[in-house]
Amino acid sequence: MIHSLFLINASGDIFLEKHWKSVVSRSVCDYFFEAQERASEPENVPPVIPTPHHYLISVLRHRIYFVAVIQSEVPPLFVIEFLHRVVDTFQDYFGVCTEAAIKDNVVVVYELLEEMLDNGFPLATESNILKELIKPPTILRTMVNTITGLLMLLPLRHSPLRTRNPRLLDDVSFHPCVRFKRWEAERILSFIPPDGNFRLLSYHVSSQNLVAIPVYVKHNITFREGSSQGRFDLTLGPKQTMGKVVESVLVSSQLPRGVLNANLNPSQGTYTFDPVTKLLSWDVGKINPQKLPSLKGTMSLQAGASKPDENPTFNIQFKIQQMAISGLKVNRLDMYGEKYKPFKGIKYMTKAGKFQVRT
Amino acid sequence: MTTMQRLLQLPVNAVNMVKTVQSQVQGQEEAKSPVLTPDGAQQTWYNALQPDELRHLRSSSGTGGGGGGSGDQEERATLEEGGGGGGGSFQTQPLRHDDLKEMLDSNKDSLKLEAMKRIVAMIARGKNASDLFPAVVKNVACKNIEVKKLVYVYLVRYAEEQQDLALLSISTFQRGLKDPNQLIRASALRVLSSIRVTIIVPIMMLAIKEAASDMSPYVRKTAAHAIPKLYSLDPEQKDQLIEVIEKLLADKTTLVAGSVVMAFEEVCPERIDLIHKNYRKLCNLLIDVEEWGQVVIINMLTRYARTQFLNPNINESLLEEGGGGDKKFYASDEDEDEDEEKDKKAEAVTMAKRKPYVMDPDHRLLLRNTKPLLQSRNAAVVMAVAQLYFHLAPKAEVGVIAKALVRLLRSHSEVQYVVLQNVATMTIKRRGMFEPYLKSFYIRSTDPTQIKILKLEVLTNLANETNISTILREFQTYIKSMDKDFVAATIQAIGRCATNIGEVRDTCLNGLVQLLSNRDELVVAESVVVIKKLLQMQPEKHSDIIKHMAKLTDNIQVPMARASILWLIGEYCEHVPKIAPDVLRKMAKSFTNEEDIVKLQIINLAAKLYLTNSKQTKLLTQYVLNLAKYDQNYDIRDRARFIRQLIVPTEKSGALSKYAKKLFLALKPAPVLESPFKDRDHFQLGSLSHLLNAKAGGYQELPDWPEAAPDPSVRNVEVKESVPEWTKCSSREKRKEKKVEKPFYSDSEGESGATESADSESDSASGSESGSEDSRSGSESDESKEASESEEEEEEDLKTKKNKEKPLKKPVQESESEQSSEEEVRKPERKSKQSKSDSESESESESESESSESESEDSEDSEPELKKKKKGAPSKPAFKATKKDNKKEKKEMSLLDLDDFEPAPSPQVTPVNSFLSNSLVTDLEGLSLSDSALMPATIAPSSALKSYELLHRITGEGLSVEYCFSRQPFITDANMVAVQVHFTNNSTSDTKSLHMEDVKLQSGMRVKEFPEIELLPAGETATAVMGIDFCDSTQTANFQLCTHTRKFFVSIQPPVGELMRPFFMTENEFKKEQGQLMGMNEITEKLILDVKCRNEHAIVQKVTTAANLSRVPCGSDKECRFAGRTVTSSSLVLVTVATKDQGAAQLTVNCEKMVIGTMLVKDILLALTQ
Repeated sequence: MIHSLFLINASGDIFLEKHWKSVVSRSVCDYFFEAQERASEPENVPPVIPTPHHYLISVLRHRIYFVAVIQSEVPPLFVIEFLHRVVDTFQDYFGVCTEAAIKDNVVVVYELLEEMLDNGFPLATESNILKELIKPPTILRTMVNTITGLLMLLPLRHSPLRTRNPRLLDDVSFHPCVRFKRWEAERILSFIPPDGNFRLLSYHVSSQNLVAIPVYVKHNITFREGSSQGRFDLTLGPKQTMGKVVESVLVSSQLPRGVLNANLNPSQGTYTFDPVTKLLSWDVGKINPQKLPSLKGTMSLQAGASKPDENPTFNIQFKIQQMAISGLKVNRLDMYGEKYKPFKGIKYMTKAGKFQVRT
Repeated sequence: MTTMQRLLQLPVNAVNMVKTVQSQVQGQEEAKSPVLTPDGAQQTWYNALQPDELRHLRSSSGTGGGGGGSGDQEERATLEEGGGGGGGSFQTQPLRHDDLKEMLDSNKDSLKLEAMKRIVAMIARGKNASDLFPAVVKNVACKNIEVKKLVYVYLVRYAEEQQDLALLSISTFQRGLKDPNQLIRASALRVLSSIRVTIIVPIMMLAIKEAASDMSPYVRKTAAHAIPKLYSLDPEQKDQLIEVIEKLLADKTTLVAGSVVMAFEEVCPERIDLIHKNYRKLCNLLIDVEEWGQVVIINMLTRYARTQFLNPNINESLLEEGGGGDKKFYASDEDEDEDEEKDKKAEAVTMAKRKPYVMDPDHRLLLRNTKPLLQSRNAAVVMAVAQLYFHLAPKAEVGVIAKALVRLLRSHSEVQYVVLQNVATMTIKRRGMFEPYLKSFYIRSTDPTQIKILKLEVLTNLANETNISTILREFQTYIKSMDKDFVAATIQAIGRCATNIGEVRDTCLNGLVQLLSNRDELVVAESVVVIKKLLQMQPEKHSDIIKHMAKLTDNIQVPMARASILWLIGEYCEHVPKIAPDVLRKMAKSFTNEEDIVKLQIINLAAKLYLTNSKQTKLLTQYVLNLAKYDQNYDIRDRARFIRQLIVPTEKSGALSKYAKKLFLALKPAPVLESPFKDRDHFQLGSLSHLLNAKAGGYQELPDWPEAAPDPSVRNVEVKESVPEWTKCSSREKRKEKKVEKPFYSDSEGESGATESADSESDSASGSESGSEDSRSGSESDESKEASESEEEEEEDLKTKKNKEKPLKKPVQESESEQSSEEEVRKPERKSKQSKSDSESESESESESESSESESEDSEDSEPELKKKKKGAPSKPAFKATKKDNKKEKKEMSLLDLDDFEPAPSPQVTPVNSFLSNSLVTDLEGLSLSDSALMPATIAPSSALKSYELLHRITGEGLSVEYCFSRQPFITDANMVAVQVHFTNNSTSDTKSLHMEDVKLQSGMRVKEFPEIELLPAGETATAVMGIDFCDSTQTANFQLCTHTRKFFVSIQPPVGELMRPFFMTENEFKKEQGQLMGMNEITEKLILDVKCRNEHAIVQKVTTAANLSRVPCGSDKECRFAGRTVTSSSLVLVTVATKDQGAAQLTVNCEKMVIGTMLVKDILLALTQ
């Protein structure tokens, strides 16, 4: 399946290579570099690149390309999913997955890659198994050891979790530890948790259950024909947050190419505008419902150029603590097979994913 | 050495090189021996040496007889010096490696480790470290596990380049293959099979075969992984490897399933016949297989199903054809091969008449068992199921995959990329499926361009009369995007919508015409190209647009757009009679500066105008043709020559020129704007080939549905699969391992229990019958006959032992047949019966396991007497005991698993290792826990449980009540003992509202009452479960049992053995714990064992019947150890029975709770002596 793996940084250096079958020359990456040159943006490199003798399947994360070399038919998602799993594992081991972290821990990285694939076929990809085979760097080590010890003694541990409003969940996907049949029959999540952090379930709220978006945007962005000025007026406000504070708000937008500079005045927070990339970003912070944050001012345009016809879109990031916007609630959490009294707690948080406002 | 050095005046590093080469030379000599004679004396000689000794040996031989070698070396050293060019580079490079070599040669593991780390870092960076091979390879036998691991990494990387030296290490791995620790066995096999050296192929083959029969599923998994490695090294081995694959395919563990199917796909994907017998098992195991294995299995099963089942949509497609719903189909074929078409139709119709489509239950099984995996977190698994449904499911059911695929669109962009490609293909065939998710394909400004374009493709495919306005409004937004490639793609998409949906054609056209005044030239150009295509559909209505476009020639520079405009004007010159010649005039002027495609269109335009309006354009045309005649491009020259001959009549021009007008101005069919994803579904979706739209190497075609279904009975499985053994067991150790292995197999068989539903007849047949059906050799069928006999014997055995106990022990066969009938009922009302059938299927699995166990036992019995005496006697009871445990504690699956996977521990295993192995295997194996582990409250027919009377038939006025301790954890409270209460209504009238009242308890005790039984009709029985927390004491729980008429005072008193639950530990842990429970906590009794229980098996059985304990694996035959924890306080209970000669034995109980200990000693003593 997966023949070799090359790690390539933003400046095009191959800083790590691993082969699971016979060695594939790193010159195969030239095809990747070609594709990279052709792509306007780093993320536009096609994930699958055919070359005369191999296929290159790559993912881009943390500004590192993970390029897998394939020689014959294999489901591309298989490889892509695996590469992402590799990145997740590195993150799990080193806290971050950067070029520096990988270089610092090159031996552990190499051993991990050795264990994760055998002859190019995934062997051990679960973090708890890997951690038994390969010790994470020192800080984590002691902690992990005690945890594994616990699991050993208590093989019967399993925890049903009851959710209150299962109809709400339109589409769910589970960690493999969840007993699917139990979920189907009783809508109880029963599972033996693996060590460490893991995503138990992800769900999608169906479009029938209209979820109120907790933030609204008022905007007024105008360019007048003939003048070299544009008006910019943006106000944010909270909506149906049940008294919870919308925080860590960050607004970013790609302004039209014709905009030379922006002279804006934020009522709170700070803003930056990069005249080269035309990227506007406004770090708002918390939204105070009494005093709504706004960003007002003018944009200077290229003199003589006609008004840009595109409208910018705004990407908005935010967080709301102690609230799940979907209305999902965990009804109860039971734990079996443990002799100690566990600390039970649940923390709700809403975080904007890819939230865009078109103007 | 030093003398020689002085003599030769060599630099220091050269001496080190001498070492290297000598070790190489030596390596070659040694290399042959382990290969040719694996058990030869040479090997042992080598093995016996420590690395240090080896070094001494080598250095001495270097001084002694290394003349030739050093001479060689001298030459090489000088050569290298010359090659290095400057002294500087030569000095630094080898020097660094020198210190590494020195570190590797040192006695300190820390130095070795440091050196290995640096070397591995070099490899990772792609630096060549091959010259260190001899220094590294001798550390292959290093004791330090960290060093060893890195040496393995190095070895695998460079073995191919240094084949001869690599052979040095083989013997280490051969030894590793026999290690008692499964992880070491597995890793030895893994490295051995990764060494790509052809000469060791026979060794690898042998190792793989042995590992395929290993007791540890992890090792068997590694064996499966090794198969493709060996195959790529030597394809000649295919036949032998297929045998191994066949054997491993029969494996019942989830751990192995994925890996062996992967091997199957790489080595012999064409041998679909190997799957038949394993098909149902694979379907049933699927949900518990690890994610990557799931993908491989699902893809393979898709192909399998295409060869074995009928097209589920056959009737539907017939209907469509018959009703003329599919007009295109007719339209295209009508003229050409009507006859063939009719035949085909007739055939299909008769087929449909002959046999209405009924889905094969196996086909249904596959669809049903894969569906839950749509909820996997792994995108590859979801995609695999989606493609399976797309290719195999009835149309009405395919819809379920849409939601899951849409979910994947929220994943990483690479995942989106692949998913969208597949969705694009699907939307062409099954548009309706994704229509509800239209909005999920809306484009974000932050999406990468390639994602945008794919989403656009999907949106276009989804467009229909009802949603087109929404989609066009969305497209309107996209056109304003700053990403111009994306805008161009949007314009094309609008064009496609316009051609496909007549209603919006004019709207789209108007919109596109507006774009012609866009400031961005690319946008305009793209619009022109698309408008050209649209205009071709109804040119007469749009002459003004053509005029408008003619004006654009002044501004637009994009060649494709210019060419399009010219073509339009030429084609519809009749609609723009005045403008056309003027355009030609302008073009003639700029001809020489135009791009080739534009030039060709100018010639075209000239020719068409010449034919329609020669008066005005004759000269222009001639001018253009003259220019073209001398063009640099030969295409253009050719075209000019051709056109001149055709349109300008001369004497020579002949017949063709008469038709020139017809040729040039023929009515041209409007272009069909097709999706590039049309017909891509002939590739299996989700595959690399589909993504590239080109066949990738190793791609297996997705076969067409068969006309008639092949025999479905090939998938029927006999009850007994006697697994052929690869290796004749010669050593004692081997045999021991194998015996432990059996329960493992049989246990996991339970997972495939439900599979057998379809062939319940053959299932319920006894072992001997299936044996005779078996097509294998006579000796094997004999064996299974014997097995069935032994099974009966065992049954009787059990009966006699339990003659005091009243209850309901069903004969195995009966329960089995009941099971199969049960299953038939189960299908329609699956949900309601869920919990029950779960426990039922378990019971079946158990009975199966019983038979296979007894089989193995039996074959063992047929071994020579001598061995039986030595080995058979102690170990045979050992696994019987495990089986008994199974029976009683079947709910505690994970405990069970631990039992089973514990390899026969050998004393030399270090605690660390066993710790590691256990936890690893449980983690891996935990995945295969059946769902039933979750439902401890369900009631299993527990034949082996001892029942006690709660209420006698006479006192109870016809109601008799018995209870037993089910030995399952009580679900709602882990501190309670589960008591199973069994009610029988022997009276003639119904009993109503059976419930408990007035519970009187000693302090600290608690009771969880059983749910009220509303009605117990006359002659019926009912079972309920209650929980009692006895507070680790044998105090009675008193309560009233009430019916609607009467109340009875009853009490339950537990035997001390029921106050505990099994607890798994290893021998070492046991000893450690025991050491802490000495003195007052230890009670020892001497006893003479009853004649009947003087073997290990009987002891284990007696003890586990008396107390709910689990067996602790033990290396010695003379000792049986058991462990458990009390239910309430979780205090450890450790029991040891040490046997001596003449039936003498010593019983030791270690328990913190002295009362419990004392009572337990009494009970066990009683059990063992009576």
